[in-house]
This record gives sequence, structure tokens and C-alpha cells, in this order.
Amino acid sequence: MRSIRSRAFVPALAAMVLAAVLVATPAAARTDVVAKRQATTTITFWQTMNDEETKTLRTIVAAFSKANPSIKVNMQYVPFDQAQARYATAAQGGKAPDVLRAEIAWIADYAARGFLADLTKHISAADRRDFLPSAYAYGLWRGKTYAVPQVTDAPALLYNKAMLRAANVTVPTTIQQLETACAKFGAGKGIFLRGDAYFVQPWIWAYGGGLVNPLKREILIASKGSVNGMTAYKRLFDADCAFDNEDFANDYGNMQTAFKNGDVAMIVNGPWATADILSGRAFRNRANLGVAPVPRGTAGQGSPVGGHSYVISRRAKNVDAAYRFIQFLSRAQNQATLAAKNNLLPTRKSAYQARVVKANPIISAFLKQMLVARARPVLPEGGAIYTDFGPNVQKVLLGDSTPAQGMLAVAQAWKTKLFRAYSIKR
Amino acid sequence: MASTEQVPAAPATRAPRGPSLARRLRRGYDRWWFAYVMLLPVVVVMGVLVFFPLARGIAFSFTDADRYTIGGQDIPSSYRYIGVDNYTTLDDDPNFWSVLGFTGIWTFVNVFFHFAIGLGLAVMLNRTLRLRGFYRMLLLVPWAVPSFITAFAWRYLFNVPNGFFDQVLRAIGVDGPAWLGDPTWAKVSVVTVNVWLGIPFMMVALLGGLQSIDKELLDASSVDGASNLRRFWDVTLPGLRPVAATVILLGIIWTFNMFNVIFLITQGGPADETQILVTYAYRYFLDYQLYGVAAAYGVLILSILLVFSSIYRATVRKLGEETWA
Repeated sequence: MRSIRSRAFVPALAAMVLAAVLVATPAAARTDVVAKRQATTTITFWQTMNDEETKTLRTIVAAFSKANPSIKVNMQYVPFDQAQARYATAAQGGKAPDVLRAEIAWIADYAARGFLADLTKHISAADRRDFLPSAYAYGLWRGKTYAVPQVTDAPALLYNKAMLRAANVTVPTTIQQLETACAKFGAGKGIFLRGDAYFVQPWIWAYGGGLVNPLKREILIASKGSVNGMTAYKRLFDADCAFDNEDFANDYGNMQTAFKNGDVAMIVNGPWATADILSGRAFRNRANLGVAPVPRGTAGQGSPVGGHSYVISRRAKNVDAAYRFIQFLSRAQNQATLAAKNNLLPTRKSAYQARVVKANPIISAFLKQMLVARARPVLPEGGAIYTDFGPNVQKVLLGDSTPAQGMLAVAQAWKTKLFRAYSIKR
Repeated sequence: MASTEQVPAAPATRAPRGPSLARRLRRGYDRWWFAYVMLLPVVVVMGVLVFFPLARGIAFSFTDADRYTIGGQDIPSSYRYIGVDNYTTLDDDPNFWSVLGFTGIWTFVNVFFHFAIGLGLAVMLNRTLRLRGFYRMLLLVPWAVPSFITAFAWRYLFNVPNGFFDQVLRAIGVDGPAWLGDPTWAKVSVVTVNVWLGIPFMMVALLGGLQSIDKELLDASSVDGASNLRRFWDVTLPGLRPVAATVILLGIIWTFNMFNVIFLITQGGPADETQILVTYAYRYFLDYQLYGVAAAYGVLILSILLVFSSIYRATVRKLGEETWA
């Protein structure tokens, strides 16, 4: 009895599979017909903007949906600090979203690993000429274009004009002036410095240091200039006039809060933070917010060029529709809207001609910073350089290691984990 | 295994050259085919969800798989076998020994307080008192809240200068510590959160253990004139041993791999001082995408727990607990 049953099992299974195939085939054909009639495509879009920016983005996406009823946009928020790794994991598993708002340092990595659609042929010559060369360069990998730039930025010195006036301080242009200016304020009221590697970079460049030089295959973070920059940063961090930053885990939010409430006169932050700052108590009069280039050191000045771009996954179901979407998002008019509402720097030259952008004093002030900002080298490893950099900056600030030891530890971590073929310049 | 032992052929009656292996298997199959069929889904699911990934993870730890060589989708993989290099170079990382050390401290201190406080609360609840149900429910709250919500709430409480603790201390004129900014205090802070999170499980499990202790034993000992302390020490604690041995082992394994609390509160900071093995492995996996090294960390964690569990089981058994296996 049992053997009969088990013998019958195989043909039964085969019959079921066959039936399933037969049923599925006409069904698939039917879907095609339906799709042709309505021609709907769904684009999944992972975006990483902050709350203030997201409000503006929603209106722009709504405008796109209205103009393109056949394309449905499924927008999902992914926290900025998780997006880089999540996208890589998703892309490896074949589950990447169609469109991602990627930080500029991630693009080369994704492109080198074959995650991204080549957009070289999609971008028109006129568009290409219109984008700022520095922003466009981050989307290039081995001569092909993989990204459409959305926004560019560089941290600048932000200051509370009323507090500076009350302390009889002029806006510092050198690090030395910054230190004396800070000292004119009471304990903890001069400046808020973060325990974060990204914000140490201006000091490192100001003293002639650097990160890496891919042409010479050198790691520069342990060089004399970098160590001097770290030393100067720590000197100001330890100064009495610097805010008592005792919580690195929450210090971005604490910095914003202190500056918004008028508890501290100066911070270093990018244009993306200004919309939030202007909602603060100390800036009810918007004109009270001052923006100046980060101060110079003995060997020049620099602030890291950052920004975000839109990329399309190579496996996107409909690359043309996805491109239409990101092309719409990065139109001059929409860049101008984001610029006017959120003080973000457009990546199109034409967007700067818009009246709302020209009239925005914060954007024009940040443009001065952009002129002296430094582009980071376009490297696939670029997104991972802060992983060991940050903790070692914290070690130095806590006094657990000297600036020289800390920067050497960063260099060694980079050499073993990222740049194996490079040499460490001392 | 169990099924072959039950084949009705007692060793004594079996002839030296008894039925051939094939025949025995056939007989076993004839008799137990239904059991095997019932087992099949479990074996398949375990294989797909546990054994296959485990085997792949172990295999990866002997390769140089990284962001470029891993392949994916339609990109061919190109990683190579590199022997035990990933293991021998683990301690090239300057943080390795301190991470390993803190993992041990983290696990021991947490489970110690879980057990001590959980037992205290269980003893308190193991008597008739008013509102017992209410207290029990209240004490279960930490367990009921998702741990990432707990972590974010505590991170806010610890914030200096905008958090609850710092504000309260300042209000009474005390300059509070840098809860998350000072390496030592950060360790205290994350341990505090995890102790708070882990107590309910211990309490519930031990309460169950207490309630299963034979009342007559306790009554008999008090008739014999034993003091409360003696009764607790000589009757209650030995009676709890089967339950306690199991929950302590579980607690150690869970705490050893407690990712959420550390990652969401300090991200291993400040200056990597609160990293434990599993959060540090995450950095290799997702930040550096050195999958071979990350897999080696995974195997290391698994081996530590395996070795520990076998020693622990052997010790507990030697202490005279035969019922626990």
C-alpha cells in the first residue's frame, strides 16, 4: 500500500508542477497586456535627507508624480549613517532600490563593484556643462558617469553675530585669531568642537597635513602637518572657552542645541544644518547667523567638500524611468527650491542664477567657503576612512594617546584595512 | 539514533553474524519511515537556516573575501583560500585584546547582576503579598519593551549636558560624570542598561524554579529548627540549581552577543572603549567589508561559547546535578 503511494507521488508532483507552469504562462502574458495599457512603473527611492530637507523633497516628488502619472515613486527614508552599508548589502543580494541618494564618497566604491547603472549616455551635453565640475567629478569612475549631483557642501565657521559683538570680537580668519577670540568668552561659551574626524579635517589641512595621496600612493594622516593640525585642534578643545563636550555619542545634537540656544558663540558645520539652526531661540532674527570660511592655519586652509548625488542601480527594472526621476529632482528649478528653503548649495550653475538663490545670504556666504574647500580623493575606499579615524581622534581628545600616536594609529589601520599598497608618510 | 536502539533485537539474542546492515536499515526504515518523514521538514529548515549558513561562514573565514572579491548578483566572486591567515592576524588589530577583555568583563558583570538581582526579586515575589501580579507586571516592563527603544531612551537619559541624569544632578548642585564620554563611565553606563534589560528574564525563570521546590522540604527543615538563612542556603538554592544552571548559561550566551545595547548607545565609543567582539565584528563586516576577517570573528565567538558551554556543563554535572544535561 505504502509503496504504491510513494510510487504515485513522483508523477503526481510532476503533474502539479506542469499544471502550475501551464497556469502561470497565460497569466504572465496577461500581465504584460495590462502593463502596456497602464504603463505603470514603480521606482523605489532610498533617501537620506534630514527632517527639514525631507519636507521640501516631498513637495518636489509630488510634483514629479503629478507630471508623470505612469511612474509611481516609492520613497523610503534610510538614516544617513546606515545607508552606505545597507545599500551595499542590498545590492549584493540583488535587492537594491532603483534610486539612492548617495553621499559622494560612496559612489566610486559602488561603481567599482558594479552596483550602479552607467549614466554616461543619459546625461545630456547641456546638463553636463551646467553641473559644477567639482561636484560632477565625484560621480566619475574610470571615465564613466554614475551619478547626478544633487547638492554640494563644505563646513564653515558659523557664529552668533550678537554674541561676537557683545564680546567685542571680530570674525576670526586664522586659527590663532580663533583661539584668542574664543578666549574672550566665558567658560564653555566660545566654541563647540566635536569628537569627530570629519570636523578635524580643516585643522589638518590648515597645518599642511592631509589624508591620502592616491597618485603617490601615500598615507598622509601621520605626517607632520596632520599631527600639528590634530595638536592645534586638541589645544582649542581643551581650552577653557571651549564647550565641555563630554558626550561624543550625542555631540552633533548637543552642538546644535547649544548654538541654537545661544549657549555657545561659534561652531563648525555645513549648510545642511542651517535650516535647523535658524529654528533656534538665538536666531529668531535670521540675520544673527554669521557664516565665514573656516580659519586659516600656518599652511593654508581647507574644509572637506561633501555633498550628495543620485545614483541608479544597475539592476533597476526601468533605468529610463529612474533617470527621468532623478533628472527631474536635479532640475535647476528644483535645486533652487531646496536652496531657498533649506540653504543648500545647488550643483548647477544655472540654479545660482535663480533670484531666490541669489537673494539668500547664507548661500552666498557658503559659496566663499566653497572656493577654499578641498575635494577628497575619489577612491572606492573613501567612505571607510572615518571608521578608525574617528575613535582615534577621540582617544587623542580624551588624552589617552598623543596626537602623534593617534594619527599613526589611523595610518596603520588604513594601511592594514584599506590601502595595503600605500606607504605611510611621516 | 534513538530509533535504531528501539529496533526489537536485544543485543543478547542477536547472533554474532546477525542480520546484515542493509537488512537492519531496511527494517528500521519499514518500521520508522513515518517518523523520518515527520522529521524531514525540520531537518530541511534547520539545514537551510542554520547549518548551511554556518558552514559557509566557517568557509569564508579561511578566505580573503572582501568588498571586491565577494561577487554577488551577476558579478562572479574571486576570493581565494588563504588558510588560517585571518585568525593569525586577528591580534594585529591594536584593539583586539582590549575588545576581547571587555567582552569578558561585560558578560561576567552583566550575568552576575542579572542573577543576583533577579534572584532577590524572585524571592520577594515568591510569597503571598498584596498586588503581587501588579509588581510582577511592572518588573516585566524592561523585557516587554523592544531593546532598541530602551537603548535610545537610555542614550537620551545619559546625554551630557541635555540628558535627564545630568540635569537632575546639576539641579542639586553636583557636577555629574560624563556618562557616555568617559571610557570608564561609558562602560558602567552600558552595563547598567543591560542589567536593567536582563533582570526580568532571570526573575521569571527563577520564580518558576522557586515555585517548583517542594514545600514539604522547607516545612521539614523549619520543623528541624533551621534558620531562614540556612533554609535558603541548604534547601532553596540547591532546589534552584537545575533552573539556575540553565538560565545562567543562556544569559551568558545572550549577553556575550548583546549587540543592540552597545551599538545603539555608544557605537562602541568613546574611542572604541566599549566595543565587544560582536560589535567589533560588525565594523569589519559592514564598514570595512572585510568578510573573511568578519567571519573569523564569528567563528571565534562561536568557539569561545562552545568551549565555555562544555566546560560549564561538565562542571555543573560534577557538582552533582545529574538531571540537567
